[in-house]
Amino acid sequence: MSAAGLRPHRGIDPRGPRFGAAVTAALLASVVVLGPGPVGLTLLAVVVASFALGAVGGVTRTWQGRLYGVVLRPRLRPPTDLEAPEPPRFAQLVGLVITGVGLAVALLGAPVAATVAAAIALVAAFLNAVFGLCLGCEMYLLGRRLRPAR
Amino acid sequence: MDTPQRLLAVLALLGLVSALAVLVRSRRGRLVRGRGPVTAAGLVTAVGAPLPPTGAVVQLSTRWCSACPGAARVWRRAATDAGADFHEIDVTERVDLARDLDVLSTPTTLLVAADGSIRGRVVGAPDARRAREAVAVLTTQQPGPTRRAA
Repeated sequence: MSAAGLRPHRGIDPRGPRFGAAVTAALLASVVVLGPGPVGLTLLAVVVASFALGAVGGVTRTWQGRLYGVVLRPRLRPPTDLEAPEPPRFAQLVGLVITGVGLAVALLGAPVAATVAAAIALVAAFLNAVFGLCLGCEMYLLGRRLRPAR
Repeated sequence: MDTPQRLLAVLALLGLVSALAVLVRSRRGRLVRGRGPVTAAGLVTAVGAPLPPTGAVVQLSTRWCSACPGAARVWRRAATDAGADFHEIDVTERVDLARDLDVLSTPTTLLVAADGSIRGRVVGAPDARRAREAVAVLTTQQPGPTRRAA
């Protein structure tokens, strides 16, 4: 078992996902504060759609990622380090599942699910933005260990 | 709940999460001795190379681990400076090994002596100083008193 395949050649600016997480955290905080009314649920749907873009195409394909690439990155110094795009993409998938289920359950008649899901995703996005701690990435091995080995 | 209460709840949640994150981060990257198994049958096989007399630094990574590439660079330098080998094992599909070694998150780095015994482990990415201090357990002749994780 070698580490071959762990390091793809392409890399992304690690500040991109953190900026995206900050934008997402602000949206999710608004969802929690506004409550599961029409405005709150619409904002949550925007977040779900953004996570879907990130889960399919990677964080650089989300509108937050594009915003970073077009507006912020040209004004910053070049990154000292590039990071692998797979971990943040996996985290986007985790975010998509949590917020997607919350939105679906809210629309099916239990509005509190929107607030709960937004709060859980808010914690993850906040930790990523402020502390650089990627909860979705950390959960991968834990999740695999809880399931029986294939 | 009305909006001011929801706002207070969000602020309280983020305050609590920040406190926990600071606590977790302060414990990251530190050498812990006496936690987890001292040997694991699959470890030396997974390293795939004979261990030199000074032992080896073995980092367990996954493809979804955002902190792993940076940590690997720090460990490689610290190990090379101390005359020890550095190996990185991809445990993305090796849940069995992660379970045997009691590894919950990546990067987890093991300080492995020449006889294959684990002298200590470091969870999370260390800075250069902590990595150097951790590698020193391989070069000290007598294993010190076992200190449990506080």
